[in-house]
Amino acid sequence: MADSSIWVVEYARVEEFARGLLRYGDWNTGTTIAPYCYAVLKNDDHVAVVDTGYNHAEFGKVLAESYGVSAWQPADVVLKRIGVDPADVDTMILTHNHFDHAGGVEFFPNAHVYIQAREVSRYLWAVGLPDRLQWLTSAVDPDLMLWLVNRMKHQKLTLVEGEMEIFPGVRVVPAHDTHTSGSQYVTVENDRDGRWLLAGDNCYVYENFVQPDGRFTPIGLIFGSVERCVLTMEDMWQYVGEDVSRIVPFHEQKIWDRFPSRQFDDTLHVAELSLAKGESSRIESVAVAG
Amino acid sequence: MSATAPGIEAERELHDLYGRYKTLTMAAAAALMLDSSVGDLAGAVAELLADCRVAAGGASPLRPQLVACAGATEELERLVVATLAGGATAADLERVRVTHRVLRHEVWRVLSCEYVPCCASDDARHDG
Repeated sequence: MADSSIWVVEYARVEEFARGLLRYGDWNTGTTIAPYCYAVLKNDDHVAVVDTGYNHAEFGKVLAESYGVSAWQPADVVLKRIGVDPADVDTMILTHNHFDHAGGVEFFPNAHVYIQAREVSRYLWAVGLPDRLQWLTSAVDPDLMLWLVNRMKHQKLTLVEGEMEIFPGVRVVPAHDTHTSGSQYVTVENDRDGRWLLAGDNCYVYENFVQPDGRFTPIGLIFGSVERCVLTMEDMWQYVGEDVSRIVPFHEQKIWDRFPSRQFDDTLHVAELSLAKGESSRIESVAVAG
Repeated sequence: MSATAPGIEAERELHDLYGRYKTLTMAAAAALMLDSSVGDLAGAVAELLADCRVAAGGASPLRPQLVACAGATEELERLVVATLAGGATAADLERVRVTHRVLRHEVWRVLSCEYVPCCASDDARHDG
């Protein structure tokens, strides 16, 4: 039986995030709050994270000063809020390898990692490019790639070619040449409450999908093709039956209003999207806050 | 960082060497994961190491960063050579990681963070 609980945990935020990055074409329209989040899936047999956040000890000061990232908390703090120990996470799905999604891999020492092979292989291709084209690789840190090699040596890395079932009801779907060369998103199909889609950065906010004119507007930071972004959004839209509430963006502050959620003393949130049979709410009964 | 001409030239030199180092390190890691040969990278890594050593031995105001770049590239070369010999160990890999972190820390002391990820840039933040 496919039945996974789903939580979205906020681990940091940018208070002044350029709107033009969230929605393509929203240039010179100021800033808004953008949470930095990842998702946790839990069923009877597995605990999975979809993305990992980043390690503030390594990047924090620079990111705080360069980009205004604030309120960062490590995985053990944010996962404790839903009763999960990072050491119990056995599955890690990386939607892409940008630092804010994949820079916290070391927090989960026992996880088997799933990332698209293309998200790795493009760095072999890029080595042949002149320096003037290295913007294409600039959001990735070598340390993540080296850590993945280490995972591989421990037989805890799967380089996914295309679509793949990770465990019952949970699949990764390629979104190549969109936000990044080898992006993927995650679908969850529960027998109990139907379909969910964890978007990674294939959308940033609900408004990428929902506008008064009915047209999609992609994100504003695309390393691949805008056309592929929009067509991938259509695939995502069809998967969830055109119900935007079943799409989970990782930089959307409205998620806290749309689902049962709790804000902690450090101002970070947890949203509870789906509870598997027999699971108790983590939002209502958190013993330790903040 | 000083905006003097020698300072700008030193920044350019570091930016170039660090960029080459990053590209080669990511490519080497990708090759290891994909079971592809790192042989094609060996020449470029050796060339980078030679350039880093020359730069680190000069009178650049960014000498600590250049020394770190040479150190990190040295470990990268050791990994490549060991891999080609069929004997790269976890320790080889860990040394590359450690020296990379030292280098990154040094570079970010004097150059802006090069990431262009899901963040508002300084310019964008000031637009609003």
